Amino acid sequence: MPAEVKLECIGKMEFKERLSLRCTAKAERSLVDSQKIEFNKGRFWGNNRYLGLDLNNKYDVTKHLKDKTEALELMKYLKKVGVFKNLTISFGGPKCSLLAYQLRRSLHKVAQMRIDTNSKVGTTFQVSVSKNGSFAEFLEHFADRIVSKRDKRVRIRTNNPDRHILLERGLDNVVTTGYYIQFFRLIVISAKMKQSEYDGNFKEWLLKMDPDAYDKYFWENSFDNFDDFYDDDDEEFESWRHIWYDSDDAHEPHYY
Amino acid sequence: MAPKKNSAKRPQPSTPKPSAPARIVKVQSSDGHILQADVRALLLSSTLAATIKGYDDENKPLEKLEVNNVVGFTLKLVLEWCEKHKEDDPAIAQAEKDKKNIFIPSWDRHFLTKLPMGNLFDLITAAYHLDITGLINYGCKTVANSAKGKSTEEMRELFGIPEPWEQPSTSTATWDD
Repeated sequence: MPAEVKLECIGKMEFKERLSLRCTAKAERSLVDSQKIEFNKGRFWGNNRYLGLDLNNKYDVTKHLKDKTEALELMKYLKKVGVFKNLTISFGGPKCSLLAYQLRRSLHKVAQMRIDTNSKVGTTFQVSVSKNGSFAEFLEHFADRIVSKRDKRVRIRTNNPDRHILLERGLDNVVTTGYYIQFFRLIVISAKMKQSEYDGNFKEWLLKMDPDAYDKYFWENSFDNFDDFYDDDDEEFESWRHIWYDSDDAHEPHYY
Repeated sequence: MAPKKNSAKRPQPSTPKPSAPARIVKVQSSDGHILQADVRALLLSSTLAATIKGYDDENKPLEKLEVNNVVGFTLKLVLEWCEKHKEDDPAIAQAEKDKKNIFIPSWDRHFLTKLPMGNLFDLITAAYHLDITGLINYGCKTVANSAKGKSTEEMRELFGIPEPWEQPSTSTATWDD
C-alpha cells in the first residue's frame, strides 16, 4: 500500500491504534507522526513522584519518575500531533520549578494561538504553575487588547469582534495568592458575555486540575518540606521542559 | 416512533433526480479487461470526470476510457461501488474526508468487509488514483476498524510490514532519532 494511501487510513484510526502502528517501523512512525489527531480533553500532570496523562477520559498513563520513558515518549508524540479542545497542564510540587518560566510564557502563547486561529467559543486551556508572574506577564503582553481587568480575571479582545478571551486566576478564600502553585484557566468567550455570567465556581475547575488543592494539610506540608523535595539533579525536569516548552522548537503543542 | 439511533450521523442520500437515459461507456483496465459503466457512476472519480469532460467539451465521441493503473479485478470492484453510489451527493463525501469518525452504510460495510485485506488495499489504492473520495473514506475507515485493538505485532501482520531486521536500511539514522 502506498504511503499516501496508508496516511488516509491512519487519519481514520483512533489514538491507540496509531500508537501500535507507529511502533512497527521507522517509516510508519514518521507517517503516523505527520497526522494531527484531535482530542476533546487532555490532561498532563506531574508531581514529585509521578508523570501522567489522560486523554478524553479514555486513555491514561501514570508512570513513576524512575520509569518515565513511556510517558515521556507519549508526551513527545502528543506534542507533535495533538490538537486539544480542552487541555489541562498541571505540575504540582516544587521539583517543577524548572518548568515555571516556560509555563508562565505558555499562558500568553496559548492565548496568542487562540487569537491567531480564531478558536471557537468554549475552547479552554488550564494550567497550574509554581511561580509568580504569569498574570503580570499576560497583562503586559496583551496591554493593548484589555477589555476589563480585575484581581482574578482579565478579558481581552481577539481579532474576531464576536469573541473575547477570558483569563481567570483560581483564587478564593482558601486558595490565595500566598500559595506556591497558581491556577489559571483561559477560555474563549462570546464578546456579548456579561460579567454577571462568569462562572464564579473556581473550586470546581481547580479541583479538576489538582484534587489536593483544598487540602490545607497538603499545602502546609508542601511548604514545610519544600527543601526535602528539592533535588539537585533536575535532569528529569529538564527533559520535560525540552519536550513541552522549548521555545526554539517549531512544533508547539496545537490548540484550537 | 422514536428516531433511529445514529440517524444524525448517517449520510442522507440526495433526492433522486429525474433520471436521464443512462450513457454507457467502455472502461479498459491496465491488464486489458474491458468493462462497461454508466457515465454518472464514473463521474464519482474526479480523474475520470476530467477526462470525460475533455471529450464532451471537444464534442468527441467517448467510446472507451483507459484506466492504466488499475487491474481488471479491482476495476470491477471500483465500478460496482460507483454504480451503487452514482446518485450520491458528492458534498457528503467531501465533508467526511478529514473526519476520523464516519458512519459506513450497511451496503458498503458488507461490500468492503467481505474483501480479503489485500483486495481491500488494492481497492483503496485504486480509489486514491482515481480520486473517488467516498470510496477512500469508507475503505480507509474499514481498514481503521480492522486495526482496532491490534498490537504492534498484529499491525505488522495487517499491513504486511516486515520486522525491523528485515527492513532495508535507507539511511544511516537510528531508530531512536
